[in-house]
Amino acid sequence: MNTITKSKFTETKFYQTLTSLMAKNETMLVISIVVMSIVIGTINNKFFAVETIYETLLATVIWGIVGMGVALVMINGGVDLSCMPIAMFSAYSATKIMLWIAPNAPIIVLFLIGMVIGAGLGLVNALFISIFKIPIFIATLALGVIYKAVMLEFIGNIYITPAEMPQSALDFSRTYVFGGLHVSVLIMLGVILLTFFILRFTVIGRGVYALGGAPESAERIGYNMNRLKFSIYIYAGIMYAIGGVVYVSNSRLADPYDMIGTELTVIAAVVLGGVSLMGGKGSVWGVLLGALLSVIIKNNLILIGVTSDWANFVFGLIFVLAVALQAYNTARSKKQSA
Amino acid sequence: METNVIELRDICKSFYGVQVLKNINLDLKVGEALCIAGENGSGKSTLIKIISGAYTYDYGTLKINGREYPTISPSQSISEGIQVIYQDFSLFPNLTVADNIGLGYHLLEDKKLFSKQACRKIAKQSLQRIGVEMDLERLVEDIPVAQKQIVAIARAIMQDAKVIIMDEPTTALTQKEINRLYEIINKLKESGVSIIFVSHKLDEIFAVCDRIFVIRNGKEVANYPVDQFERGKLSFYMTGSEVYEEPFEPEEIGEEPIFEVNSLAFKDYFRDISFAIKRGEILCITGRLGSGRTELAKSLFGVLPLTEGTVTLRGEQINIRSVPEAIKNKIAYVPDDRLAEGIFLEASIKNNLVSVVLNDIASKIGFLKEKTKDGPAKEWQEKLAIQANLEDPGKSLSGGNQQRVVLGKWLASTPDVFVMNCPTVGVDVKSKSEIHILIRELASQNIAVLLISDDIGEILNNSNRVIVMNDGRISYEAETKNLDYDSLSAKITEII
Repeated sequence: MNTITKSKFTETKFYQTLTSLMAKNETMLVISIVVMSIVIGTINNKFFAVETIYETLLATVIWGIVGMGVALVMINGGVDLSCMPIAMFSAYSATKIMLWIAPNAPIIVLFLIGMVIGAGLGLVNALFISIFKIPIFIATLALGVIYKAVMLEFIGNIYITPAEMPQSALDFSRTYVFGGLHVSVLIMLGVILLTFFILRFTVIGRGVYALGGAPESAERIGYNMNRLKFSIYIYAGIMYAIGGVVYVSNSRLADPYDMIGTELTVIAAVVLGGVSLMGGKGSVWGVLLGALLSVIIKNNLILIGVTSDWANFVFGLIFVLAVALQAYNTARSKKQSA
Repeated sequence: METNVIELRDICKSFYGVQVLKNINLDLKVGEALCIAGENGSGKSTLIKIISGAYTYDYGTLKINGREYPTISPSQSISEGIQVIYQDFSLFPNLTVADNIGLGYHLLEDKKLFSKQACRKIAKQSLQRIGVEMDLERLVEDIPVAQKQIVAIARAIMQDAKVIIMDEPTTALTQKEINRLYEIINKLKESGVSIIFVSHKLDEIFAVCDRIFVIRNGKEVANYPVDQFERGKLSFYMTGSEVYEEPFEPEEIGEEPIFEVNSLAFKDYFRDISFAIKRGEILCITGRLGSGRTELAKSLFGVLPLTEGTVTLRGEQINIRSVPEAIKNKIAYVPDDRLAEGIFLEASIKNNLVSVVLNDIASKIGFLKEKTKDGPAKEWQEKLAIQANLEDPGKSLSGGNQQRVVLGKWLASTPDVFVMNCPTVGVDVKSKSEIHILIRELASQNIAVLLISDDIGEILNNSNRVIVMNDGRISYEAETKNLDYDSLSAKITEII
């Protein structure tokens, strides 16, 4: 008698876990990635080679790192269109500054200069959003344009060639670990873990969700709104800068016209990763999976002879399906509670 | 020695040149339960917001725990132990129950790191204190409105509160839960916590409060210990005029039922529900939360699809499988969660009032001139005495006026059946009695009115028949004139 009820209990529990797992966005992403990999891998078995996996991860790095900042701002309730302008501004200026004051400094200096600039631009974002209460989308759209213009006018509009790049950046681009994994993948993982830690285990991190879910309530329970918003935008600015520096180092070229214009790609990856455009919801692992899935579709479908137009079509299709599924799940859980 | 937790002296506050508080003097003693009563717009919300630090005051002095605060911020107020349970609960829909209860504690203690375990522990403790069990890992957006309120209360008492301000805390609670709330309040009082209880329900005030402070047009009009307060005087103080409700007596009950349902069922929520409403009648359905009354109301409006049973309107069988179908069959519905389901908060009052009849007033190919909306909007604004500019957004209205807008938008569609799910929740005394008058008018106009309510006074005064639901079935049915407060209350709380 006892054993029967017990097994029944575990069975329903198992079923519950299964359904809640299926409703999770991350699960759907993992399934999509696995399916996509099997399809690509069976047609072109090179895909399962360690090198291909490492390469895919390397291609994910920029989206993963910049995506952390974009995700944070989106959880807080808005779309940050200034991500790539800040990334490029910080990376290009940092390279110029380093070449000017200490061309032989180690790579960490390049990162630090970039991060300071990124933090500064994040502060400007925060100023307009927090003090002047401009909607995030509009503020970052306008400021992104300004950042680009300021960079081209005052910092420079000529790209820094590989021959001119700081030696440490060139060395960085050739640094591999674990038999061929590029070091910037580790930076991405570090940044994701850090963001995960902040969002999950700090009061300010929970505040990001609280603010995204119900701003007035967040203020009422005692959050300092300005401090919270400034922290978010400065942190996001630093993430963009890290992404930018990794990008220019890896491409051994600092082209001020590069990167800017790909904002929507990273935003799409973040949304695909399950971060709600309405704010208040999303996880860093979802963002990583979303970035990974976009890269697999866009870079690796070519391996099996799919043209880039069709790859984009597949990406768009998966994107719209993912968003539809998220919306469906939200509606269903609402109905269940009604 | 009696000490005051809060002392207000000559507090004044103006908005844009309009004085909303005039020389308010108020003392709150340790362990005292004070009721602040007043109509909407009387200034009681402003008063609360001044104490909680949401507004700054223009003139006067504010002392909390003996310390004078020329200005006070929300976080200062919280660290002085003042907790407000707002009417909208101020919860985070996207966070779990545990996080909602525990997050404030982290802020209060000025912690940098967030601990999920600590949240769970705190949530468990404070829910235990109220005697409620709840799934701590559910998202707040997924739980019903009554549970949201419990979460809000649990959050307030978990922090080391000295004063808990409850802004109409019983609106979404059933009688049993209200009784439990009284117990909690008494316990809190014994442990030296002071309560400010914003309410205009007499029963509540006399059940828990020690003193009543009545405010009208920003001025103090009464401040008495409860035992010296005349029960009948409250609405007089609040409105400046006497309000008395005659018990409802149907003028003339028709022979044929307007609206009739037979053995309705929806999944596990309710079954075997049959009743008929004749012309002139107001039928009330009541029951505890979870008795199925809310689900039944929603089913009758097509929100939840009926799994069994037939519905007959004026002799013809109809289907209500969806909301549009219900509307097509001239069924109107006032939801219990007004803010979420009843009113478009951001849209203008005008657009709210015409929202149900858009198709009827638009041209054949679907164009709608702004001017066309004015007619019906003005008509219902006047009929329902909504004192506001039609262009103002719905959220700018007080609870009573919002409910008038909700009623108005449906009345514009000339319904045959009006399902009202707790229509006077969160509505001031005067609006409440006006809504009651309106409901009676509807009944006399050949509209079948189904009132769902758990306010026993309201039921007895405003319906001629009552059905009590218990565990998804009809457990009792009677004419209200044969019932009194206690006998109906007993039927509702009866456990089968």
